[in-house]
Formats: sequence, C-alpha cells, structure tokens
Amino acid sequence: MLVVDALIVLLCAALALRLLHTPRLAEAVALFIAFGLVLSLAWVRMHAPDLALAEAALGAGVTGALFVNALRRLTRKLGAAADREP
Amino acid sequence: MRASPASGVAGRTARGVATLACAGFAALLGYVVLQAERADGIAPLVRARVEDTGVRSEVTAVLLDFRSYDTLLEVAVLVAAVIAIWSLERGRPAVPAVLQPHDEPVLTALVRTVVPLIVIVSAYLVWRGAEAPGGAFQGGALLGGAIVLVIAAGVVGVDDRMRRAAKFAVAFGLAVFLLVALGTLFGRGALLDYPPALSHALIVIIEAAVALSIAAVLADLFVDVPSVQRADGSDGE
Amino acid sequence: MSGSLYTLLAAALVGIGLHGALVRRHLFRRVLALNVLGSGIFILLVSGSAEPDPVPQAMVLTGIVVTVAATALALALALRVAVQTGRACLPEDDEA
Repeated sequence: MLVVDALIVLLCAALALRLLHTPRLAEAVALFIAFGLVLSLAWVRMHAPDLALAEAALGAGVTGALFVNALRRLTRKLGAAADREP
Repeated sequence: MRASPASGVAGRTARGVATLACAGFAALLGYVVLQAERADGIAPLVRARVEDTGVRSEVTAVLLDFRSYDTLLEVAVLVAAVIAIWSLERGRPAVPAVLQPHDEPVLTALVRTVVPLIVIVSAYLVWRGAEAPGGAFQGGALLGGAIVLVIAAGVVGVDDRMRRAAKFAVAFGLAVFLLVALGTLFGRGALLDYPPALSHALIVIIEAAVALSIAAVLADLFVDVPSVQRADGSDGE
Repeated sequence: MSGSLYTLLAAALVGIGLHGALVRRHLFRRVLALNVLGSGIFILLVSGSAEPDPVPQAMVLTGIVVTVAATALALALALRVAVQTGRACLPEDDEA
C-alpha cells in the first residue's frame, strides 16, 4: 500500500508542477482535471470517502468544466493565441 | 508603470526569489506539521453523540447538525456567487433567446439511456448521505451534470419558463434551510436546534433541497446560448 | 507513514500553488494555482489526524464547495477583464 501512496503523491506533485508551467492553457486545464481525479484517489487512501466523491464530482468535474467553458469563451473573444502566456 | 517586471534580469531575479521563498515555505510547513502530534481532536465527542442526530454518517452529522450553521452559510455563499456571476454577464438580452432542441440521433440515444441512470444514482447518493458517504453536494453535482448533458445534447430546449424555474430552484435550497433555521430559532430558542424526533427527517429534507439547488446552480453556470442568434443579431456576449 | 507522506504532498502543493499564483501572469493560470494551493491546504487538514476524523473532513467538504463557487466567480471576473482590456492578465503584469 505504501507503493500506491507513493505513486499517488508523486503523480499529484508532478501534475501540479506541469499544469502550472506548461505554456498551453488547454493542456493545463486537462492536467488539472487529471489532478483532481488523482486527488480523489488520495482522499480514499486518507479514509475520507465523502471527500473522494466530492472531489471527483466538484473538484475535477465541475471545476474542470468551468475552466473548459471559460477557455472556450476566452479564445472566442480574444483569438486562438489567448491561451498562451501573455 | 509596471509593478512586477516580467522579463530581463530583474524579472528572472524576482522569479528566482519567489521560487526560493515558496520552496522554503513549503519545507518549513512540512517540517512543522510533521513534528506536530497527531491528535484525536474532537472525533471521540462526535462519535459519542452521533445517535442524537438521527443519522449514522459522522460526516453528515457534523455537516448538517453539529456544524449546520456553517453549512447554511456555505449554501448562502453559493447563491451569492451565482448572483455575482449573473451581474457580470452583460448581454442577458431584454428579448430572451430560446435554445431550440436540435436533433443528433447518436447523442440523443446516449443521453436517453444514461441520464435516467444518473438521476437515480444522484437521488441515491443524496438519500444515502445520512448513512454512508454521499450527501447533498455530491448528489447535487451529479444531477447538475445530467441537466447540462440533456441541454447540451439538444434533447430539450431552454426557454424563458425554464430560466425562471432555474432561478427559483437556485434559491430553493437556501430558502428551505433558512426556514428550518428560523423555525428552530423561534420554536426552540436555539438556531438549528432540531427537535430530536424530527432530526433525521429535517436533515434529509434540507439535503434534498440543497441538492436541487446545487443542480440548478450548475445548470445555470453552464447553459449559455453561444450558438443562438438573438433578436438583435448578437450572440449575447 | 502514509499519513506523513500525504502531509509532505500537502506542503509541496502549497508551495507549488503559491509559486504559480505569484509568478504566472495569465489570470486563468492564477486561478488554477489557487485551486492547487487550496487542495494542498485541504490535504493538510485531513492528514493531520490520527484516525479518520469527521470534523476536518466536513470542513474540507465545505471548503471544496466554496472553492468551486469562488472559482466560478473568479473565472467570470477574469473573462470580464479579458473582454474589457483585450488581454488575459492584469495591466501591471502586462509587458506588451
């Protein structure tokens, strides 16, 4: 089980680092959704099933969808280059 | 006048300092928290009194009985955020737009199979939240997703009546919660002090109402009409 | 041991999120960074107890819901800034 925990911890940290430092926002949002789902696994490992459900539904699902929606509106208003760093 | 230089040597130095500071802070935080004793907190107190709440799930008991005031404020925050977002959306037209249902056979077939299942699962999650992991927020989020799916797939259209119903649904959860709060305040003298016999029933009623509200909030946040031409030719943005 | 591992992850996420919020300029990226920071703090709260403790779990559940609401509002605000100024970053960070 320690192996599982180590994998989850490494994956979370790697996803977080990558999503904040990739130049493409579309990639960042996709990585954020993945981050939310792995975090949901982490909650299970921490014996917090309510949090796992909430993280998967709200953290990854709703927040991810909010970002995708906002990104779509942004590129529609400002053009395709808006999702790179200004 | 730039407050934060982003390029050049000054920018790189600033970023380097920020990186060092954040890394140092994270290390310090990790060290301090690891040194701290792992305590039981007030979990034993909760476990001792959880039967008084009428529900079996300890998290639900904390959320909707012991700390129900916090949850009331949380629902209020949700509603306030939605109102703030409404106020930011210039372009809600004076002439309301109607989103017509459109016909996409594969998507429609998928939706008609999956959405009833989602509705059942979300109702189950809300209901079981009293005994097991689950509850209003998880079930509400799922139901909201189902609504967005149905509308985005073009199976139903969105018209004025539905928009008004959505606004009513957003307020509904908070209203029910407030009603219970005021009722207990004037009936029993203490805010949200449920009468023990009604505790389980009140908790389930509040959870159901809040779940509906959350579903409506999600549906409202996501259902815009970008592909619909409004009466004045704009697309609402 | 596992509890300590997650506490370390929490500290790392706090550092990563804080750094992202300070250094990155795109407003959406800042919102992402704040979400990561928030997740780190949530893990910190939950991993700090000896046994599964319902009180911090309830607090974090509330925190997750409020974070979703705040993120929605933050993104709506960021979109307004972008529409008004034509750039998706704050004026003082803009070097164009």
